[in-house]
Amino acid sequence: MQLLVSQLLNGVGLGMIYFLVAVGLTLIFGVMRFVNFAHGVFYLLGAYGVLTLSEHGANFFVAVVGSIALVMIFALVLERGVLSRVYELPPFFHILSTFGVTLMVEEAVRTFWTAAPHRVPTPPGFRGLATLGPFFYPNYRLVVIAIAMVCAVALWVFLERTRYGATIRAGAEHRETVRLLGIDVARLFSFNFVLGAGLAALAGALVSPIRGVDPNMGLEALAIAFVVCVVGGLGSFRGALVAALLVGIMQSLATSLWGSGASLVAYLVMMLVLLVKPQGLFAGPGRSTS
Amino acid sequence: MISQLTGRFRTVAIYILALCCLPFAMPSVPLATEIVIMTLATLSCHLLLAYGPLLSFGQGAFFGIGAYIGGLYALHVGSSPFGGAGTALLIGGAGTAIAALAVGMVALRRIAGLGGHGVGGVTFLMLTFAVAQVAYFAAYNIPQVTGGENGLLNIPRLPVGVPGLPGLPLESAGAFYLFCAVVLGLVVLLVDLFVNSTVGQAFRAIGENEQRASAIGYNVFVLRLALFVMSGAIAGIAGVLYGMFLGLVPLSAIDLTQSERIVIMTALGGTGSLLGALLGTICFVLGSDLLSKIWPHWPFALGAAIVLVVFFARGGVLGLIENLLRAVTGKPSQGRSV
Amino acid sequence: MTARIETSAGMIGDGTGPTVATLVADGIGKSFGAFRAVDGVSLKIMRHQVKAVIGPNGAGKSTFFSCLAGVLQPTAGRITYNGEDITSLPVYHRVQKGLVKSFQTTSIFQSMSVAENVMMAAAAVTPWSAADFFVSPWRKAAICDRVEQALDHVGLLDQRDTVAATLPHGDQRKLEIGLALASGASILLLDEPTAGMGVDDIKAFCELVERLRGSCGILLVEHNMNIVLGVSDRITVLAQGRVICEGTPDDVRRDEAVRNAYLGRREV
Repeated sequence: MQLLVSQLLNGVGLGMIYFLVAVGLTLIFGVMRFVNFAHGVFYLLGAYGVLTLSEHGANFFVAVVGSIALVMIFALVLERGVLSRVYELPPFFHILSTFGVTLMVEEAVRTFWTAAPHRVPTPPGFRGLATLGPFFYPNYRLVVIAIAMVCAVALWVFLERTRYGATIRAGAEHRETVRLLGIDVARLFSFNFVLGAGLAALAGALVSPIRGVDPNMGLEALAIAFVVCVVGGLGSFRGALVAALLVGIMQSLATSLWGSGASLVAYLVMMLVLLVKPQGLFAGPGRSTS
Repeated sequence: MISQLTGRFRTVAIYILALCCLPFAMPSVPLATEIVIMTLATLSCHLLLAYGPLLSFGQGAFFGIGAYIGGLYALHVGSSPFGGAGTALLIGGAGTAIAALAVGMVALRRIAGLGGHGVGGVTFLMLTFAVAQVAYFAAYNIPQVTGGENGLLNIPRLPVGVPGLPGLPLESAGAFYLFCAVVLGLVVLLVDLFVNSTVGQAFRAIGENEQRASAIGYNVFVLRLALFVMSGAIAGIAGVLYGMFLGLVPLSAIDLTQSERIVIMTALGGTGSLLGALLGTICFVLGSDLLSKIWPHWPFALGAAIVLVVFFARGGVLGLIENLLRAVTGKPSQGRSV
Repeated sequence: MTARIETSAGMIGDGTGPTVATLVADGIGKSFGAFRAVDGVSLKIMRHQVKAVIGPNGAGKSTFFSCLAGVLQPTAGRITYNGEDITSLPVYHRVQKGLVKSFQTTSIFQSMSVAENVMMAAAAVTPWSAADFFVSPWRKAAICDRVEQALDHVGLLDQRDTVAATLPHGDQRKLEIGLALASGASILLLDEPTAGMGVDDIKAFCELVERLRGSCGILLVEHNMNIVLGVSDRITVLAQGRVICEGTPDDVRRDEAVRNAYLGRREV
């Protein structure tokens, strides 16, 4: 029973991390019709940022915030300097350009930090186990779940309840109309992109004490983010949340049954969902996929 | 008449010419062989991109599947009287085609191509990316079949010939290169015929105006599926040759990097004509071979090169060459871009 | 009616079904959420007929047409073609059976020449064999004949090598119809075919309709009353998604409800 509870909570935690990575990707596509192949890079840099800042003596949570800030600045420079020039091109070039960026960043990471994995120590004060009734669960992982959930709620409130959020949702549905309404679309896109990058960086930062950091983690995160987006429906916040939790929990439960094959579970879930609903669980409103 | 024929088959002729020169122009015959093999793989991606229009990040999976099938065949059946390089290619190609059919039936349902700015082509991309991951994890997790982390080892290089008669040995580098070159030449010829055929021309309509193509009676799903299966088979054939070339099938034959490499070569080369596949592969294989000797961090330059292609050379190397020729001869522009 | 003319070229209007092709729309309804764009519209058209669907803007004509063509799925009702229920049959399949629609907004293959455009349509409906994976479509007599015929019917033979994007609007509309013809239609659905056409082109269009009369059924959506009253055997009038009148041109001209619908007078 303890095992089941642990696995379920692991699944939720994993799911929330997946959500943080995927929601940025899905919003970027939904609003900007931009396929951001570089999204994994933000996750990667978020983790390495924490590694470096902690090594230089920063408190863990300060390192997290600092890392996210640095990644967001990088994302802004990237978007304004390189990617915004690519928007009007056919999607193939979005993919290519962000793919090129990914290669460059990953190689840079390999150069400056070597290809070997590194450990990030769990923040003191959050080591050890918490008691949940008759069960135990690592403190830090609970913190991760809590932070991720707070972010999810905050994001939801932002999208649903604020004017800027409404603009993003409108932009997701009808870019041209938003432009005609006099809204600065360039600023909207930048904001959206940087927000997505920040969320992915948060995910990477939070996860670093749990899985360590290595140069391949960006690609792994991207692969999962793709699965979550496809299952949830591109452009859908709700879809990203539901799909991420579904994939996370299934994967976690499968680990106790099938060890190394657990990574395949995510893709199995995706295949099953696609057979029933090719557009994903919550395909964006008014969007035809044929 | 001759000029008409060579005009029509100009692409094939250039391929044949290049294949004749390659072993002498490249630093070594094995490198030339690697180029030929990878050109086949790139061709598979190119076909999908130029005609689907679909970008597949999963051709590496089919390449790997073909390699494993070919390797297993050579290891277990090779020495029997039915063994032979030709049969290995057929079986590898057929097996991969079946895999591609299964994947295509799920991945191509109700999606639009990359031409429109809709969701469809992106979903296909993400799905093929997932396929690449699945293939890798599957290969890793069934070591009884694939050798897991170690891969398949000690694969004999089968002779090629007609069953019953003694086959031609392919042990020597030169003989094997010739074999690969013949395979590539045949595939290019068939693809060239297909692309200009009634069925192949349908993809021009689909690429330009998918809705209209449907409205004049084309079953876009089935057509794309056929193209996808064809591409998969070609990638599989390349994989079989790869296993024969190395004498082993490493796990890296089927990993995501393989798919990425294929996409890079396709993009570098350009999609204006079938020659793009050859050009992109030469650039990448030769370039990485030379560059890796000078600079250990050469993937950084590769990434930069791709970004530069997006900004300055969208037609790939092919486009650059065409521009150059046009500037030199002053002829008006023609031909498709992506 | 004579049997299908056996030549190597598929003659236009020779759909592979029985010699009398029939399209029956029975109680078609299409709702978008709570909004009923089309409500209980029934219509029958046969191969020897020319019919028109007219009505004020927003009457649901194009929506109804889209249901017939398979672009939209009706939320109510049945569509039968030659006795076969085709309500959920995809677009390409209907075309293969001989039910072809031309588009209201010109949707042709801009980068291709006129002949290539029409060839695409002809190749799609000519049965394929293994050779078609290797042989150019221009070497197939069946396809070439279809292309010549279609171009001849719409009067674009002398424009066959012109790139479609450079054609004037009227010629693009002709090409639009040419594509539909090359598909070998038994029943042709023409959605505002003369939109934006000049006087000469409109005249040519009416002559085309007369030439085609008998070899394929034609169902028109049109705003140009002269054309409608001149070529149609019968007219169906839609308003607010419903049929308000159905009859010969004379019937419709005199009908009170039709006048009200167009001029907006309330019935007392």
